[in-house]
Amino acid sequence: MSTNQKKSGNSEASHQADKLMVHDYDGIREYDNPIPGWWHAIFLGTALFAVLYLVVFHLSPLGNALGLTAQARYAAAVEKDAASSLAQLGLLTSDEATLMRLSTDDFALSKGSAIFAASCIACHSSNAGGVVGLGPNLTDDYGKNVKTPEDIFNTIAHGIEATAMTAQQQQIGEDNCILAAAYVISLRGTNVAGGKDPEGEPMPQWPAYAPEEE
Amino acid sequence: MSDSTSTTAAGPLEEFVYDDAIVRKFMLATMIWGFVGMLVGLIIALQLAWPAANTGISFLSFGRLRPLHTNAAIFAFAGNAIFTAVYYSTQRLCKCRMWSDTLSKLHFWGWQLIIVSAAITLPLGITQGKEYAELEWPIDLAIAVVWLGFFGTNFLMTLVKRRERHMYVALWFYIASLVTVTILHIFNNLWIPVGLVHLFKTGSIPSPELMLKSYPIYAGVQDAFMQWWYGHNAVAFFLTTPFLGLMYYFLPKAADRQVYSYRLSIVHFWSIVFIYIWAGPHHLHYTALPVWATSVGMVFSLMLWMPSWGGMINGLLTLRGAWHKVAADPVLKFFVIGVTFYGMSTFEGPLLSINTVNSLSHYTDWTIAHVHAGTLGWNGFMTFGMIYWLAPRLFQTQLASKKLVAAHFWIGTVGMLLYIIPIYVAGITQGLMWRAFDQNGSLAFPDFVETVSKLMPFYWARVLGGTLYLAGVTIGVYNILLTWKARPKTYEEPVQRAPALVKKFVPGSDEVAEDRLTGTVSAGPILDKFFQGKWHRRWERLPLLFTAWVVIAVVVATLFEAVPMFVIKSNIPTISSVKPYTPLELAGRDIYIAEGCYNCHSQMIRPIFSETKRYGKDADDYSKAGEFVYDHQFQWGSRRIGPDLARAGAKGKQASMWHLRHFNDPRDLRPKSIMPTYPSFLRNDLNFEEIQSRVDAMAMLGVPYGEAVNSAADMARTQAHQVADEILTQFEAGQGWEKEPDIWDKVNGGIPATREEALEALSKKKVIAIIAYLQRLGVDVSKDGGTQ
Repeated sequence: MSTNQKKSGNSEASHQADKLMVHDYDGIREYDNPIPGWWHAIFLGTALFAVLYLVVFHLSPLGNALGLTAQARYAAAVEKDAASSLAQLGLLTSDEATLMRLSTDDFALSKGSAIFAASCIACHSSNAGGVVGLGPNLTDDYGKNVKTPEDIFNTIAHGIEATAMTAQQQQIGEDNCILAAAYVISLRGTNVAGGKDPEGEPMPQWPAYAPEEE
Repeated sequence: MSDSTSTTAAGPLEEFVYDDAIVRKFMLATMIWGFVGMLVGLIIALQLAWPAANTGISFLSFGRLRPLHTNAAIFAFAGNAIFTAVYYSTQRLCKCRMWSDTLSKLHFWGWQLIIVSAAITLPLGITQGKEYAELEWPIDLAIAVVWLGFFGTNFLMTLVKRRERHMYVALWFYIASLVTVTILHIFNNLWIPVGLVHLFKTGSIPSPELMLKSYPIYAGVQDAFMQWWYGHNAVAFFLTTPFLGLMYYFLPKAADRQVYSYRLSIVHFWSIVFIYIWAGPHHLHYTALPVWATSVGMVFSLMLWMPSWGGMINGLLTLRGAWHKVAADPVLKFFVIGVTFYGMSTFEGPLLSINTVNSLSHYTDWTIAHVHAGTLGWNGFMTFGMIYWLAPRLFQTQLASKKLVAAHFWIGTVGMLLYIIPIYVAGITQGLMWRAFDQNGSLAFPDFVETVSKLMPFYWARVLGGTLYLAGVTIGVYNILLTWKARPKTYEEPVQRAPALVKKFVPGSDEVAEDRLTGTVSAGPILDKFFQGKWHRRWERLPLLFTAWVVIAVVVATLFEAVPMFVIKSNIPTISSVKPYTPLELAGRDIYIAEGCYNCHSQMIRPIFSETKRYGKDADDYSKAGEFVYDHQFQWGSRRIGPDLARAGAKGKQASMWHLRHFNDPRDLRPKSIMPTYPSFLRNDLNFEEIQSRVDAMAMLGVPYGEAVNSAADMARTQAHQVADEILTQFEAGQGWEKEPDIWDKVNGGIPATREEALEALSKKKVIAIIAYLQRLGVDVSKDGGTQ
């Protein structure tokens, strides 16, 4: 109690400087204290920033010139992605040889598995083991519409008429269909646990792919 | 309490009694609705952590209950708390009873009736589909009448008839709340009631569902602009300014201290009133809204930081010399935490309004955490502090238990932290997962569901935190009811005495600016007088003038943004391939809205690289303003608990049969999905006949419907048959439709005997319409050569 009194006593004393306004509302009274200086400073600072921001980003070409606008940053990201992406894989075509080559390329498979996770798992399940009544198991040696690697690409790109297999080329572009096909080719024979029973016909062996010797 | 502010001789004393009965009513309603609103919040929190809690009963699904939670928390809990504060403090600050007891009662019962009708219609899926403006048009009208007609008239007339010469700052904040909420409510709720269109065109009575349905006059970008002008300022003028008024009255009362700075209250009041209105577009960063608008929204949000903190400073510094009381008095504890959370939220708000921060936070739980810091901390704790201070005074007895108040405080505080902190972590986690790339430049988490499953531990922590907060409120309700039970048989009604205001007011010496400067240049003395602020004293004597200035500030600020938004054509470049929805798709869209799908799914791909990568066909494929010109109302959403659907029919297109199975049971296809099941889509028939009126109403809004204006129902039936046929064909390509007993049980009460029967049964169902709608999304813009 005594410390409390002391505390309040101290601060009470420091209040002597505060000028109390005359008015009284239901017992509530107000001091005529000035607004803190830092309050003014920050308020003016935000107002100045507002003017500066609008000038840089909207009322002058500065924002775009310095690459600061969302537009400029987006364009830079797109460019960076294009530069870093698929060039190292060589020509992306949907012929058998290319598909088989990609199906053993780590970079292509990493890309392909990401596309698979984005576009295919809704019907083929995250482990590619298939979903009852929808996509078949992609990890066994059977194919419903597929006998060759190119069939896989065609199924992905153009879909299968009158089934739940939708055409992807319109949606994600040819390159991505090729990479997804390469990934699916690589899944064959992994026979994931809990996968769906085989559907369709047994598929012939994939054609052998021999990397060219350096 | 002599009237020392006036040098005018006081007239004879008048006798009057305060109306505390109405305050008691509002206070009890606050506690009861607070409990209900938070209970619904707890249920939907549980549904996110444990999807089985959606139960498959349509009126208990997340998309319908979430609007009920937000509306109950804002309009029922906070609303009644505001009225409690206003009715108690206005009478005392004006030294007079409320102007009309009848209006007070009409206001109270009218407002409770609105809440009850919200509690009935929202779970039934009767909604406008715009956040915090979900209530349909008849309820909107009732709100306008009760808010402005009953409450507004009563409040303003009380100010006019007051016996205290000057209005205290709390009253300024009440005035601002009253007029601004009215303006926001009216202009965000301009609609065409579809049922009335049906009635006039056909002469027949529409179904209740159609009768209550409306389409807003705004579409797409402009609707989004109006909605977030409303939404943000509902936060400002429903959850902020009235509570600042509450703080200005009850905090100095409870602490028995003087308010820190009168001058600060003038400056922060007017800056809040003028600046808040501009800030709405910060909810729409990187969307199809023109960038100039979001930039203006952002810089004004940053400028709001200090005006908001003005309130916090005045609150906390008023407690100078009273901190020892805070340690002992739970009422003050509630206030201190409340004001502190106000300070944190109004710092975080400007932070989140910065576009680069927003690109991470938007659509994530960060927003949810921010909102709950504001509502649980600021609105909740200020309300509880007020109620614990009021209860013994209003019930004229001791508070039943001080220990229980302390228990409420500590359990509530811990619960709040346990809610907010995990949800911040959840928001930032998910935001970072969405934008993460692996070393090969692919999205690191391309499967959306994975970014949701990751949040489950946080969602369970939220359930725990929410339970604790609700437990605190339950203790509060119990304590208040016990206090109420101990009330005297009849309440004492002390007679107050004060002189009426005399017509002619002669300002006292403190009302007039002093001549402190003299000089040959007159600007100095004039400015000095201005900055002494005594001119404001005059406004404080003239409530109607004061109200007029508030209206002018709010309207002018609004027009600066709204006029260019509606007038400049280049804001919305036309996309020639974008056509109106077909009648069936329109009906499906109305189901999408009724189910509150927008509570979890956005339809807005932002020009952010990780986002076009995830949702777009290519790098140019982000959402454009021209896509939404027929979207009365816009459905951009504000939170992605599920993936964006702007391209649901294009990139990311699923087979229609997949959608049917997915609505029947999402976990059948995606085991970790937390989407509710929608068995009612499969069970319930679509009302094809009334689609015509939906099309007609859209046509009245300028949507070029062409031949559909005459044959909407037939067109819808034809398309429904096509979609159903497609689904059956897709089943047949797999194991056959007859192998889906679960689906046919719902659609047909058993497996159909023939394909004809299956087609007939399936094509009648609501699920066909919503599938048709989803399959249309993004299709028009994905056609080649569409963009101009």
